[in-house]
Amino acid sequence: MLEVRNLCKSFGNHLVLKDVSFDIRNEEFVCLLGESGSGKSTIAELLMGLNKPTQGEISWTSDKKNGMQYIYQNPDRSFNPFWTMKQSLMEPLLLKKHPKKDALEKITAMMDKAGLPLELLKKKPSQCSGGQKQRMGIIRALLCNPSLLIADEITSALDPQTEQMIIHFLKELQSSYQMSVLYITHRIQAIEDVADRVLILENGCIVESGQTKEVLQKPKHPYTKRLLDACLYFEKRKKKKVV
Amino acid sequence: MQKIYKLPAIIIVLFLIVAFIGPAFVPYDPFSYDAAAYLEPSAEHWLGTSQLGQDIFSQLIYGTRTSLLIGISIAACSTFLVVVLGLLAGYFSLADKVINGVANILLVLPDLLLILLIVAFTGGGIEQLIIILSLLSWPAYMRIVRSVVLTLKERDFVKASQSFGGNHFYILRAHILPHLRPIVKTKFILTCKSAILTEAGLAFLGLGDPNVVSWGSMLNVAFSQPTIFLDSSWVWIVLPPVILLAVLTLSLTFLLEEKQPSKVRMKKVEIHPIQGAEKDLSVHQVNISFDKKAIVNDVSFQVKRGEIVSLIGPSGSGKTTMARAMYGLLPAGVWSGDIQYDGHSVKNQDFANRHYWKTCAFIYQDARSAFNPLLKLKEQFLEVGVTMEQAIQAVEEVSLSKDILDKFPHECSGGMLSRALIALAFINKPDFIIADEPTSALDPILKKEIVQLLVEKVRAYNVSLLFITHDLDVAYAISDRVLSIENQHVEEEKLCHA
Repeated sequence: MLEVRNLCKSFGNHLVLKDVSFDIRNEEFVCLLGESGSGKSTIAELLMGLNKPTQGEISWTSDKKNGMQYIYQNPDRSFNPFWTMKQSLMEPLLLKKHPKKDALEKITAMMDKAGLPLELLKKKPSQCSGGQKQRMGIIRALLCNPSLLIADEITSALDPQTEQMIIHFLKELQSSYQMSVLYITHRIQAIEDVADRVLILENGCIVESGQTKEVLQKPKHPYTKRLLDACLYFEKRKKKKVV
Repeated sequence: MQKIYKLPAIIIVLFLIVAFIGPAFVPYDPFSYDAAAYLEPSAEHWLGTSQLGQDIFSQLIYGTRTSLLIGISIAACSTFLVVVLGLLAGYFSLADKVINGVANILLVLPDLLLILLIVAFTGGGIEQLIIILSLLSWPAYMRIVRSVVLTLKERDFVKASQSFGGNHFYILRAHILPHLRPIVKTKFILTCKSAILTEAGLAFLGLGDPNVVSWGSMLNVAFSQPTIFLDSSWVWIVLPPVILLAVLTLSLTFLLEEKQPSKVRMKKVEIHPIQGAEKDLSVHQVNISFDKKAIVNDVSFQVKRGEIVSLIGPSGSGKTTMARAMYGLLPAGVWSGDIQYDGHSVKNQDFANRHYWKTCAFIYQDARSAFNPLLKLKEQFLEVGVTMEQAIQAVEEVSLSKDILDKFPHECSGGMLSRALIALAFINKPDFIIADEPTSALDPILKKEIVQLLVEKVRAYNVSLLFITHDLDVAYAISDRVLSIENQHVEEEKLCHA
């Protein structure tokens, strides 16, 4: 669906992405893994068209019918603080000239699916918890029926239980909406079971890519090994809880 | 005491009523000079008459209308210009060049001189005054609105709305305009005030509209005859317009004063030593509630010397609130119970001065926001009362080079700052360290290094560490004991080595 070839991006003299190539197929869940400063968010910005690449090209092989949606890292900032959640969720539908009643029905159905109480719709963003807001952020993005959803560190501010809930919610919707997901994160444990493929990014280069199980169990590149080791370091040293 | 904040609003409503209904009820036409000059106040002429035999009370009422009319019209025109031009300049970079250019020119022109010149040439009608003052008073506030718009348009929710297909004018109206309300309110009231004063000043100098009565023109007439100061007639000729002008402008100024939460008077608190915890960090029967909503209930625990204790719980369970209570940062009204370090209570008013960074130190969630961006790290290390040698030793102990002390925080990476914050926490060899989610913003490789460093230093200096986190893996890996906070209670989880 999406092909990225030899992508380079520099800010001033600083080369952030070096010759990045990858593709995302239809209905695929791809995870982009890397430490802070490795250029993960720059890739997302280039895909969204918020920035222009210095070199290389991004091409859509299938029709780009509904385009992409982007879910932001910080759910506090992605909603207008003066609006109720209902107004914010209605926005994409009303802008596409859907009738109000239809829009509301759609949102109600999605809220049910996400397990969110409908009273939240009357609240302002400041009155909802981070996990609730992030799920509503996903709902808002999905209301546009995107063919690619880019999720940029959407759970890094949340606790592990909430993170799991959100990832599984996303995975569930992915198949029913027939979309591809590019999930950007630095936490491997969270996506182990859901991602089809992983791309490992180090200093603007993709150093390893492949099926999730293959990469996580038999990492080839030394950086991948180091990253996996660090991720699992504390898990291995865990003391057992006595119940 | 609380009601005093309503007073300016009440006074201004009274002025508005007088200005717009009053003229229908005044006893005399303000321009008629049927009465004798300089009559003293009487039942017929409540405030006497002026040099021309005009009724002063009637003139005052008409003057009120003139002042408010001018103030409100100018404020409305000028605020409208500020909002529209500010939105355009902030949002469209092409418009910015033009609008900001014009604003720059207007800002360097001498306002008063320009007003005097134009008023003198045009004869000083009210309409001209409104136009000139509106045109001259927008640039400064336009700049403020523009800078607010510049930051707002980069916010995520605006970007999201653009990706949903919202057009520029929709975004300006629906997303950006509501954020400008406080600026618009301030701008309107302040411009109203200064327009009223400017009009009064011009009329006093004899440059007012001769066809209307205003407080300024009343003073102009009064001062043209200095003999009024020889007897007591100035009391009813000069004072009333001056008093009204002062009351109106003062009310407008204080209209902006918002109701402040009443200050809690510092009370002397009684501090009882907690039994059996003189050498520990001890949390004793702590209850915290915000607006009657309980956050934690009856929490007691202790951290012994040299122990690593983790406090875990999901987001929103009150971990950070607990941490704030333990820093002594919560206002006295919201919590009860006591928290003591080696028998020193955080309720003591001089607790912060005597113990911060000395007996207890804190490691914050985000190392970057913990450092002052305007000071070099060196200065921030010296602030806690150590010598340069000690500072160098401290950063070298966390495997940073001593050159880092000469850098500003923005010149350091996140990992360097996390290390520097740990160095700073240990520099005075404290007995207790509280770390609030120090790893949640770090990527895995860095997290491993930072936690290892922290544990190593805690063991080396025999310090007590309270590690607040939602990362269960880390908590179970490094702690001697794990406390779990859930449903407003803290309970200890039993651990064994796997």
